[in-house]
Amino acid sequence: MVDSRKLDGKLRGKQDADFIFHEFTRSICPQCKRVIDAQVIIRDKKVYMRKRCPDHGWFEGIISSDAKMYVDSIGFNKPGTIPLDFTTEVDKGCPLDCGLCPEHKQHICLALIEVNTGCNLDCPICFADAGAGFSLTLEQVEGMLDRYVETEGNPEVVQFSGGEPTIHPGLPAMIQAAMDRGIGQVMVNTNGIRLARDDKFLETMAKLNPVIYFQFDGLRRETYRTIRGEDLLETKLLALDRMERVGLDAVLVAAIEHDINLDEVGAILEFGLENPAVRGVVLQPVTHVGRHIPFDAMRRVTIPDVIHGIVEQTNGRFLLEDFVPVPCCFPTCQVNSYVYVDEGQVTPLPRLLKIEDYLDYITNVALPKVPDAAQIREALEGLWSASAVPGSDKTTDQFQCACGPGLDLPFGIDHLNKHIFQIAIKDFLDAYTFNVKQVMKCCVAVLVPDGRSIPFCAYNSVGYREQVREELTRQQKEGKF
Amino acid sequence: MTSNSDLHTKACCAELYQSDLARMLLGDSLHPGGLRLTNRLGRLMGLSRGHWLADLASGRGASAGAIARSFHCRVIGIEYGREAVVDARRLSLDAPVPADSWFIQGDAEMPPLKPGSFDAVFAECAFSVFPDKELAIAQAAALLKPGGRLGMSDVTVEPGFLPEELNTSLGQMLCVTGALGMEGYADLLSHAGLVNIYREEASLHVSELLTKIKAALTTFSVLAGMVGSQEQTPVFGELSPETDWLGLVGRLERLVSAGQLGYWLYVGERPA
Ligand code: SF4
Ligand code: SF4
Ligand code: SF4
Repeated sequence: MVDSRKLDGKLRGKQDADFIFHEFTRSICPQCKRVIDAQVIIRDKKVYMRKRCPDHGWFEGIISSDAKMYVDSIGFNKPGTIPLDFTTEVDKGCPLDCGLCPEHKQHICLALIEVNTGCNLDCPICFADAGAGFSLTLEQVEGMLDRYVETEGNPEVVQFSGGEPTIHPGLPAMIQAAMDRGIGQVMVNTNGIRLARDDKFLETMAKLNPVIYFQFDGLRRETYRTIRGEDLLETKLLALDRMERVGLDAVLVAAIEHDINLDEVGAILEFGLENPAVRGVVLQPVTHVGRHIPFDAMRRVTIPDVIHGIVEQTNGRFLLEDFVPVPCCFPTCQVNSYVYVDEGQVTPLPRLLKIEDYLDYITNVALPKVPDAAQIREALEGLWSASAVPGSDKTTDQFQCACGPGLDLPFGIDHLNKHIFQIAIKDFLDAYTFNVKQVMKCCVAVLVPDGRSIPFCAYNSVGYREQVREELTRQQKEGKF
Repeated sequence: MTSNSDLHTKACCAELYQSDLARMLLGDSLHPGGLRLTNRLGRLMGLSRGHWLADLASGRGASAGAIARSFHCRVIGIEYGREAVVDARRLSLDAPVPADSWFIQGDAEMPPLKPGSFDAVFAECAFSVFPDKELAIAQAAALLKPGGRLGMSDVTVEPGFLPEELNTSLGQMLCVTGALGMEGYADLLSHAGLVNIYREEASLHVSELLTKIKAALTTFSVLAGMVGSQEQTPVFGELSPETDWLGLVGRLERLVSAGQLGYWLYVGERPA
């Protein structure tokens, strides 16, 4: 018989755990990247992931600082769409079979092509760990685009990235190649240095007119010194002025970190709303992959921190309810909002329409009983998706349909393009937050010359990036391309 | 249909054609599926580097440029409209990424080009508007080298199924008044002596287009209702609420799902 008294003589009593067990999933070990089981728990109204590697022990990290938002988002989960073709087979199990393998639950809304690894900056924070490596040829990129067309049929968005794609001499031809294949939206992900300094390049971009996905971390010099290693504020502002002058649309993309610029999210948003070249803002908590500064996994920035930051820093212009999870990917990955801006007046779309009536697929069985409900849902799905590109005619069209019944809008498409503003908050996964259920329904993928499309967060966290880079760098050194 | 409503339709149509709406719906390439289908057609024709191509009714040259660049080919575009040819040349000179494409003014039904010298000839939404289709296909086939391929993408309307309101300039703009049925084009190719005729349905692109039109129309009508029916809007122009545009789109959608209205790609080969 077991002695029910401890050595000190006190009675042993049962106690409640200090957490709620929310789910069981799979993740990876932050040290050796092997796939391990993981628990998602809720403690003190925050959500954490807890896991154990047989070799490296226990790990815990925060995944959401607002458990209610996290749990409420689950209903915004739209059935996926199956791509026309898969590239790999199911073998070792997710996430080691990317991709896409037949177990993947969503097609690709947004494809990334990393055209090089080199960069004209050397940022202390760089998920791509830019530096020496490879530089793709136009033929390779054409092959990747052709494969993307094969697997998607009607691919929606391609984003050229790197490294720094603007220093690749073949970039204009690559952008054109995507457009020639009928891919609706082409984006260029850039730090903007070349746009700020090179007139000829600016002119070429203006003719091709891709949407510029523009790295813009804040309005303080110190922010740039910390995140980018140098004070880039003037260069950034100059680049924006020049984009406006030639009519290029920009989306501001900020990497957000505690104690650096979390207190600037409101300012970035307000700046974007006022700047004529800017059509949207993307706020991304720093992902701790590639190069990053030391961090505390228990205190990383998560989506609710950014939303709360915006609400607190914009003098009541925004409410928590203005931000709605994106149903095409896993709904904990991203939230979006859209606003109509006119003469300084800002009207968020969620104030005009109860978005959850249309996009909550699990708790709402029926659509609201208004005429055109199905079309409104369709339009909202287009807006609340990873492929919505601010400033594009398609997005404008959807905005117009979605908010039609509640808002007296001037009708010209061009007019609307200039007045619709997108806010997106994306929390990419890193080794501490990696959750297989999210990558399995990921709709953002990195295209690889061998024909694979690898879900972005798997690419960054599981080791694909390193493998692909090593392989391509070696091939290029050996003169294979 | 009275001449009054005919005029009305024409006005609407001109308005629609020049509007943001048409540009938004059709883009630069002005046919369903846009450059996506152009690219598909290029693949089906088996284009490869260095091939010589002719583009019949090349418009402002969007497809010719895209094909020339995507498949590293050389394309000569024939277009009847002088302005379009001037635009095509200007756009091609001005293009940030040059393409091996040239444009000449001429009758695409009787192209002023050297017979037997092309690896491929293609025509998008062209045969449906050619009045003498037999002559046009014979001329097109004659341009091919032995083994060369003719690619065609066009609107199909099964005989007898064209809604009356589309027997108008709106119908012309949508390439449906002179369109053949699905078999009609295939017969055309084989009558011209082409072999290995392949066809592929792309009607999905028409459905997509109609869905977009419907979404736009719904919004517009809801908005027009809100701002009062007197209100004329810049995009909507003559498209007045009395015209049952939604009804028309609905009828077209039913025709597409019944297979009576569609969009098809065809490829045929000149015997070696
Ligand atoms: S992430 Fe998707 S493609 Fe990759 S292994 Fe998992 S299911 Fe397959
Ligand atoms: S974060 Fe961007 S700009 Fe900075 S080094 Fe990396 S690729 Fe270059
Ligand atoms: S990229 Fe990452 S955060 Fe975005 S949808 Fe995919 S898994 Fe989610």
